[in-house]
Amino acid sequence: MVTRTFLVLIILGVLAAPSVSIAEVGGPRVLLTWRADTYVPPHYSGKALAIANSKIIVAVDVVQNGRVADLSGQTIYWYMSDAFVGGGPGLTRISIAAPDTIGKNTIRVKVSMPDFQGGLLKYLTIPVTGPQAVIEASGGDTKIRGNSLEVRGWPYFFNVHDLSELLMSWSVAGKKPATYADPGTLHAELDAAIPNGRGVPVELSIENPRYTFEAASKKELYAIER
Amino acid sequence: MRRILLVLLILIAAFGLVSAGIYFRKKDVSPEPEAGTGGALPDTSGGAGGGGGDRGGSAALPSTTVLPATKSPVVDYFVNANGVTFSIQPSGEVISASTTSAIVSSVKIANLMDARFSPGGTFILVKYGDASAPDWSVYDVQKSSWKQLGIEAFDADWAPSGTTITYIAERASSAALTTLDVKPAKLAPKTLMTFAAKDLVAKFAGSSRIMVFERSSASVQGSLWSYDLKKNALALVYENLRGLDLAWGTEDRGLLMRSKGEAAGSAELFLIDGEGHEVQAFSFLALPEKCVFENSDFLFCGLPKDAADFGRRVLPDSYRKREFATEDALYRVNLASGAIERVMDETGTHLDMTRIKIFANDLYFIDRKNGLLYKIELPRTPQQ
Repeated sequence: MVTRTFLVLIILGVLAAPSVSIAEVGGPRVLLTWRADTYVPPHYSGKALAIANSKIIVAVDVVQNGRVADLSGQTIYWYMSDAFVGGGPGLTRISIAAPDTIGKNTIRVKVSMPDFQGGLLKYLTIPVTGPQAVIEASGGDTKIRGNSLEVRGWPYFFNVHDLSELLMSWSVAGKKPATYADPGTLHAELDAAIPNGRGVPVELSIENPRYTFEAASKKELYAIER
Repeated sequence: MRRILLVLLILIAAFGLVSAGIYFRKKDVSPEPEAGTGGALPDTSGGAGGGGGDRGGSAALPSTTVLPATKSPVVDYFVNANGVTFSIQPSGEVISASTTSAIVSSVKIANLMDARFSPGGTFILVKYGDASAPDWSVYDVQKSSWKQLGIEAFDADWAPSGTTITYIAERASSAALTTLDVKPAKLAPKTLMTFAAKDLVAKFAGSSRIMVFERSSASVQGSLWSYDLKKNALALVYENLRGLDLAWGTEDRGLLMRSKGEAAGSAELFLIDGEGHEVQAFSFLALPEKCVFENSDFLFCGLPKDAADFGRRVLPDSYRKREFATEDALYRVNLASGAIERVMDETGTHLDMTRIKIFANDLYFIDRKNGLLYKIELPRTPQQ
């Protein structure tokens, strides 16, 4: 009888375990976030992406029982592509630099908190892209109605803080416009002799004079429709 | 011995049950939202290779014309109960317009980046100055006065009613989820939670929740968290979300758009509940900012006429970067029945609808291409 009662108690105890386990699932959640110090235009509400040589700040938080845990006493170790980059008590933020490579890449960041409730480990992949030049779509199409053309260009993801640090230049049908007060805006008067329907290539080139390979360009073909 | 074996077998079976429970619970906590659940709406993609066309469900369309309600570009606007339109221009000037227009505030604001009227139209929240460290002020429409907020934030969002905003306060070594009532003369920011996190965004989701998420891109995975203002608790809603975009409508309904990745043509739109969980996957695609809830049952959306082209874009990044502009048509979606109807015939128009709002029986929006405010008188149907 005692054995049966013991058995029933064990079974009931085990079956009651899910609530405990579910509580564990709702236990510590690691939030790894980052911010790349690259330029984006003021209207852009998306994430600024990292490019080669970008400074990136990575941060870690632990959310448990609805609260952000106090990590000031926790030893936190940071790794970038498996190489140790820093560590210490309460080191919840760390600054890293994207590698000086050309083309798309990724950075793998690992954070480790060995003493937090038996140890916490989390990985983060940060994409490394290239800088980008965008010619703003004006009017939703690429038609020129008349002899003048005005379009706006925007740089994205350059390692600068201000537009003035970049060199922006335009070309229309292979020729550079005579003057432009604002390098971000192209005003061009077209030759009236260009026949209707003819395509006019417009190119925007942007470069960061501080880094040789930090450059981007964009070409659009506009059709004259008078 | 047999009894011991029996006990062991029972324990193993029970452990299996527990493990399965944990697995499915985990799936509930952080799923990649699945499409096609919960009564998806009729397919409105325009068909394979279709360049837009009719999205189905539309009968004879009202011959309503879309007319600009302003003659110059505006950043944001509000229409009061008397039909007076208040707007703030890119220069920072505030204009009122009914039969005639007048300058309400002539203060010029250098580098105005964004402006948002409060839900009741009594304040305008303005972001300006240096994009890497923006300044924030509010304009009190009733008192005709400006007030600097002195906050350090990249974004701020109005509560669905009243005069409170939420934002992530950026500090030297931390970030704080904060609320601030902008009405009192003496401002008293309230810190709700402090993080080490970088690049978080906070948005009200009804009056009792704030959604917190990482600034998004189709290239980056992020997570969505819900902060309960009554329990003062933060809970994970989704993780591994790409290109997250949110818009809230009623107290318990919002829109969530997500991207499947960097590949073009892989964004999806969902109806979500008050806690941020998916209720329904839409079969059409719209940017949340191009939609407005009429009430809990109806939704208006500016949907690109060329749905096929729109669907091929890397969203939301490409639209945010202004790599393309849309030419939208206005649709009304019945959230209960799934019926979708085109509200009016905009043939010949090239409207890129943003900041859609409803005042009385009129729907307003700003055309992103030229910044002008447009007005549409909505048709009344028996469904209302």
